[in-house]
Amino acid sequence: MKIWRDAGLTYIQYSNIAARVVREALRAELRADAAKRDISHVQFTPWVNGKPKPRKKQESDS
Amino acid sequence: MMQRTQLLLPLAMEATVLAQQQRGMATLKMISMRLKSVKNIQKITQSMKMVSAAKYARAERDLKAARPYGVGAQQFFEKTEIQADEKAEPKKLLIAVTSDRGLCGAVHTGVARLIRGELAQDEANTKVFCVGDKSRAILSRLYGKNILMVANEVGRLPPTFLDASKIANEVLQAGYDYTEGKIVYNRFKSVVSYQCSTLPIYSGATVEKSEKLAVYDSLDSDVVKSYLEFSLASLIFYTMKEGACSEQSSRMTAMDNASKNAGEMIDKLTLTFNRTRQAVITRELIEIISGAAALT
Amino acid sequence: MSFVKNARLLAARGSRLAQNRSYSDEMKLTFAAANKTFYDAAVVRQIDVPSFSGSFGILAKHVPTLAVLKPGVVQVVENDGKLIKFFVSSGSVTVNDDSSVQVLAEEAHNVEDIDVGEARQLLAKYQSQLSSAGDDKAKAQAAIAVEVAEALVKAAE
Repeated sequence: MKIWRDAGLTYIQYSNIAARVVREALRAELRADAAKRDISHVQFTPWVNGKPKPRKKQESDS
Repeated sequence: MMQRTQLLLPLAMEATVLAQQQRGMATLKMISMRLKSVKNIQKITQSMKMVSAAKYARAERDLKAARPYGVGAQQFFEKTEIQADEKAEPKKLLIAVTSDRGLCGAVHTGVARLIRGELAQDEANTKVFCVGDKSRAILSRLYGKNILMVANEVGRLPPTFLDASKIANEVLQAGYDYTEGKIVYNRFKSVVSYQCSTLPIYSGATVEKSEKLAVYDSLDSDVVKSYLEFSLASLIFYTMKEGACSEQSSRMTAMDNASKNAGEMIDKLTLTFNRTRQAVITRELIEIISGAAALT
Repeated sequence: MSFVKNARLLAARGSRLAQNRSYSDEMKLTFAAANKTFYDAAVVRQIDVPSFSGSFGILAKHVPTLAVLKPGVVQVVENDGKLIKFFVSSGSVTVNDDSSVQVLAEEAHNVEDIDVGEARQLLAKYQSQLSSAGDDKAKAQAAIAVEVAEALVKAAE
């Protein structure tokens, strides 16, 4: 039943996709404001032994 | 910036003393230069205050909407009175909710101080997830080895649920199986005050062992897992909103103070400038008069 | 839609647990989304929520439970009998033993705010994306989008 769980997605990722689709389906006058909630610039750097270990490539999907 | 203007104040005093000793044209020039630079600083702090006032208004509006959300997300954990398993080896996770940007009083240092206190107690079994460059900058010097992950590029724009989701996902997928955790953040109280607070978070294993969970009907582990994932995102979202609001209000106050301090300095410097100028004029007059008197 | 098919409705059968639980007759609903708060500890008569284990209705004294939301329609019957429909993307439902209910969604809107035409276009777009998706992850992501779009079309029609 939950294909997404088997594909390695969390419920949070499921939720993010669902919310994005809902925002896309809003009436045009609400869509511009809703699109602001699609914005996210957060970057992550794992640290090992007190030193940053940047990942090779940031995954861009959400 | 506030600190910097305060630093300049003794310098200005020094200039006054110096001026009284020399009373020359050179000091007059120096005072007018300093006056100009303080005026420029004041212009900057004033405009920063205006900007943060506008951002604060938005952040407060956002927070008002997010509060019921945050309270709702905490209800389950409060009502089930979940306790960390004491028998198991404790593995703690602290999430520091700060931002990338400074010049906002002590909001970030407050969070870092609380975390330092926790780390001083149990350094070996505690990891820190830094949200925002500021907490990383403060903690990396002494406790760099305890940092698990750093999230930056936060604080320029108001936090979105997507930001919180990504952070929650990283927490879950970092490969660190914590038994108990805390989100450390600033709780907004009013324009002039905020409180550094913590919110507990629990891993799936800890929740499933909780006695009170039996009261809840028809749960399968998949539902609990999804539920906890979403709760973590909600809690992070809520604490980021609290943190953002505290930060903007604190920045507004800091910039207001800096502008006031600069104003005081401008007053003092203007006074010194006028006195020095008068002294120079008086001295020149005396020179002319006594010169004239010597001739006759 | 068979909203009230679930046997969990009305926790009368929880009588064996009732002595150590303080039920109140009123149900307090907190229904909030990341975009807006709709109800903040407001007293309502009934709520129907879509979850992965099927849609279910919640009345006062419902047995405590946890659930995660599926994209679909949340119906709230206010105390004066007024029925309001919201579309939720996803989120969590908590029913506590003091009859307080928390419905937290990532995105929630009045059903009237959905554009039916737009939803149909999205459905077609994501269906074609699903059929052309390469790996498992992309397939799962497209499948979620299709699921949401289907629910949107159904809710808005």
